[in-house]
Amino acid sequence: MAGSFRDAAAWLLKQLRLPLMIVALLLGLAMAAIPVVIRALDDVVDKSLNHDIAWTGQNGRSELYDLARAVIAAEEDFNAEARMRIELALDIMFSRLDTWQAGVFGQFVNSSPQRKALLDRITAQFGEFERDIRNPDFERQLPELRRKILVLETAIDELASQAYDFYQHNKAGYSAELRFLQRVHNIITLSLIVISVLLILVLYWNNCSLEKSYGVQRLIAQENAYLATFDMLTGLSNRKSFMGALERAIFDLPPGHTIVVVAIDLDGFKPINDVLGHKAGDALLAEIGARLTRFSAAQRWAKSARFGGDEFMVMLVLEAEFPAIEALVQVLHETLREPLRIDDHFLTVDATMGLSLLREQSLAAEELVHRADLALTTGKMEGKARRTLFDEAMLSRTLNRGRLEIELNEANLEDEIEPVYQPIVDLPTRRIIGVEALVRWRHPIRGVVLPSDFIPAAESSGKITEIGRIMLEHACRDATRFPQPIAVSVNLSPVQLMRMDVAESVGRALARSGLAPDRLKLEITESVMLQDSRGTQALMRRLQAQGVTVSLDDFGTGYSSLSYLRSFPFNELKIDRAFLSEIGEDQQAAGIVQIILLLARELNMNVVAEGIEQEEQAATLMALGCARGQGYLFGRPMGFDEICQCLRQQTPPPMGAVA
Amino acid sequence: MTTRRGIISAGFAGFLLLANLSLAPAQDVAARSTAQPVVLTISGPGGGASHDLTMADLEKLPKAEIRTTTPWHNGVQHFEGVSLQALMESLKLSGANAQVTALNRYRTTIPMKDFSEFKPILAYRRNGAPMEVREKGPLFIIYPYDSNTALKHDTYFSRSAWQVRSITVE
Repeated sequence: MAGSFRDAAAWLLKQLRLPLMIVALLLGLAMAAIPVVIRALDDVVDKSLNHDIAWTGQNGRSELYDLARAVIAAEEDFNAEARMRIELALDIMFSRLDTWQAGVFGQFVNSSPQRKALLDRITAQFGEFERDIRNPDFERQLPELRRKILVLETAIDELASQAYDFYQHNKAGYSAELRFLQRVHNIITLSLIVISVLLILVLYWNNCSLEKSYGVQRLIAQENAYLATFDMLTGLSNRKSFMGALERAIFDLPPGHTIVVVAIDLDGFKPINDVLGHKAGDALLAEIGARLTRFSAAQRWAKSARFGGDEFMVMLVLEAEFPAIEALVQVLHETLREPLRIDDHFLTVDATMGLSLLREQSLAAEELVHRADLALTTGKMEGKARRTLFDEAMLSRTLNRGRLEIELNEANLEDEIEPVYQPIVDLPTRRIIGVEALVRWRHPIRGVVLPSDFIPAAESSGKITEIGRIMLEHACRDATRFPQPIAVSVNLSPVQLMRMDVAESVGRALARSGLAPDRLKLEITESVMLQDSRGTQALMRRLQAQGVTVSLDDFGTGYSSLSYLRSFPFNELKIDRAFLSEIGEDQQAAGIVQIILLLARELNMNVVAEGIEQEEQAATLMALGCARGQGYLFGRPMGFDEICQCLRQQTPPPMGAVA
Repeated sequence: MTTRRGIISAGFAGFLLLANLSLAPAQDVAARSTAQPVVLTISGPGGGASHDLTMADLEKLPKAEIRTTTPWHNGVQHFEGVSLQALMESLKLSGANAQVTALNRYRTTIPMKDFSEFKPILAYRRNGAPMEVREKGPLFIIYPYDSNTALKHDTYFSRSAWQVRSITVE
């Protein structure tokens, strides 16, 4: 909408450009015309105010009367004074003639030949008077002079009246011209006013549209600010604004309050994304975002953010002790766990959460988030779908991992990596029918290091393939030396499967040790199939062609898709310990185990129940028809010598009892 | 030319006698005719002391010049004379108006502030030569018309008296 307005405004502006130019041109013309008109006006005013030639004419008459009077006075009493008076009057008269011949009056006289002739006649007459005055018998000629002057009066009257008419006529012309020029002036002034009004209107319109476009710009700026602060998909804050809010919260932390940072990772988001598509994945993230927004909105002081992928971060500022905090985080966890509907699928996602707390301003926001992340990572390693509170040991463990990576690189793995063996028994007879080889690192200084401690370091350092090869060869070698020809199971981690040629390594280990291939079992987890199902399928067929059996480890904890069981030719299922712990009390757990057993029988697979610790569990499993078990009840993981001793203690199996 | 000049000089002397009849107390005509003729009489307000000035008196004052066109001449004229402001100051005369009377009985009233505002002069020479009565002399009030268009107006043309004989400050 903002865009269309801008387009319209731009179009209108374009349309206005030509009229504006025309208006500007008119304005220029009007402005150029004003001085011309004003000068013309000035000229006319000047002319109309010019010297009054009518008056000059009239003055000539009065000067002529003065001369006449001087002559009359001389007739009555002729003396030097009277003579001088005549001479002066004559001089003045000559001066008048001079005035009439030059300047403005001269122009008036010269504009008509008759007038010129008239003035010439008058001038000539005065010339005669001058000669007469010099005459010795001037006194006697005075009456004659008076008569001539009276005659001249007519001529001067004529000239004066003509000047008067001329002046009056000109005056009329001037006023007509004045009126015309004033009209032109008025028109120009009026058009200037109109143009000004037009320009003011355009300016006003332009101003309004500027204001609007400023508003549009402001909207865009707000949008951009939103994008810079918020995650588009979920509407939650992004990492940057979350960190800002956390920093402020730490700065403003009131006494007695606790800042809780919860790092959240969705369990099972990736398969949903893979199976149902990115759109569904996005819808799921949006829904989780909406739930987090609702949860945060219900708190007095909280903020939720998406840090990327399926990782979220929630900040809570609470005036509460840990049990209350834990209770609130549990509410959050339950909120996220609620089933959700994406398109036509009802899904449940769980979340793993890592918590870090801050009671005083002792940590930076980055550190607090890092600690929550660390707790989250620990929780994921411990089996997901759980809430883990940060503790200092996690920091040292992380530090440890770096150190372990270095030490793994320097270690003599051939000697230091060795398997321990946990018995797998036939439940009814409790005879050991196989062992699972578990990796240990016999560290020269640390002592025995458990896989949970060094496998992450081995995976990140790339030593995992070497360890896998050593384990495989070592286990095969050991198996050939067992007192009884029982099977040995070796775990293959997803990383091993990705990075090493398993079929070749297995073939070499079998060949070097001379172990019968049917005594080797390889255990893989579901996650392997999720990552590269085709490759895994092919690998399984190659291994099985070599005579090796493949078992599916930790069955029941992941996605446990029935289609995997159909498309992957497993020889054995290992039911995860999670079901076993509940099998005594929980009817449903027992039911699930029973179904797994039925399914395995139908698909021609053996089943091993893991994690059996109590006799009741063993009894229940047997009652359900499970033939094989593994767990502390039957034996902990033990060294080669120890397992050999156990095997020697039991009577040899009846013929053909080996799986 | 010479004859004409003679007549004019004679006319002058006669005029002075006539003019003085009304403007000044009776004077010794014989004494006057030998001395420099009075060309201008200036009187102060309220019939105060009057000053009779000869052409020499005027020429003694600082000379002022104006080059301008006029409605009565063809082309630019060069006038020399005395600034009316300076003339009044030299005689310590001040007032609202100056009443000017000419030989041809022409009378005009000039506001005294004109003298300071427009600097008109009482010209006694035109184009380097003294002005005869026939040439609107001997004294002619000239404004600098060309240097100020406001002066090209009947108001100032009518104040430009020629053949000036007397000035009365009121």
